[in-house]
Amino acid sequence: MSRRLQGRAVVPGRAEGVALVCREPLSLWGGFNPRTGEIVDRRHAQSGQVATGRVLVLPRTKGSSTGSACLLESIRAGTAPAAIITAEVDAIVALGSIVADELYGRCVPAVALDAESFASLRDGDVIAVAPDGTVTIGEPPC
Amino acid sequence: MIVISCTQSWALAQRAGFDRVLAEFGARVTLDTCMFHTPMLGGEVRTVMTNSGKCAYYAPGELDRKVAFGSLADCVRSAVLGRVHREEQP
Repeated sequence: MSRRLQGRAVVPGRAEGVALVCREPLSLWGGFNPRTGEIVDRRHAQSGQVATGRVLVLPRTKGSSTGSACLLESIRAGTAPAAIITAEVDAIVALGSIVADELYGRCVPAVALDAESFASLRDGDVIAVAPDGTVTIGEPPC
Repeated sequence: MIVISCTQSWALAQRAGFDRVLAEFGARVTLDTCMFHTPMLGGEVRTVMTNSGKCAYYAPGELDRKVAFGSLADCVRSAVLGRVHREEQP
């Protein structure tokens, strides 16, 4: 059985993937390698995980605003997450994704959820995001 | 020893004559960039000591080196001694 959450489409788009859930913020500059898609913040709980093709569930980014450029580069390089779900509108994510759409004609859809909806997402959930900000959580693959 | 500075601060350092002292020691000076974006560490470098908290935090993932954090005075003393030295406990 699937369930639906209504979020705000910060960067509208359609994508699907397996959730990679972070409970703590991450800097996309210095904490994420755009060449490999790996989370390289060695003090982060998800250090070593690869976000490529995943639905990255992240309360918010932190640190350097160059994170936008890192997300942009990962979209160009094909290492980006399939989508990013945050617990608030995240300007660093939005900027990188919107500029990628301008430069490369592709973006990472970004959705902001309220805190309660955000907290309900689990690592490994199969998540689909829709252009209107709807987030659908399906059954995890067997 | 690598000194990473900016144009303005380096002009002040030159005015004070610090540039000559650093050159005599063999320091390499790089301006207006950072070691994460501009490769400046030789393959023989295993440990980086810095007085930048941001650099110390991200270097393990970005540079794949061991990191020591200390005050500027500790960094200079460590460079002279050739090993990590701390007067001030973190």
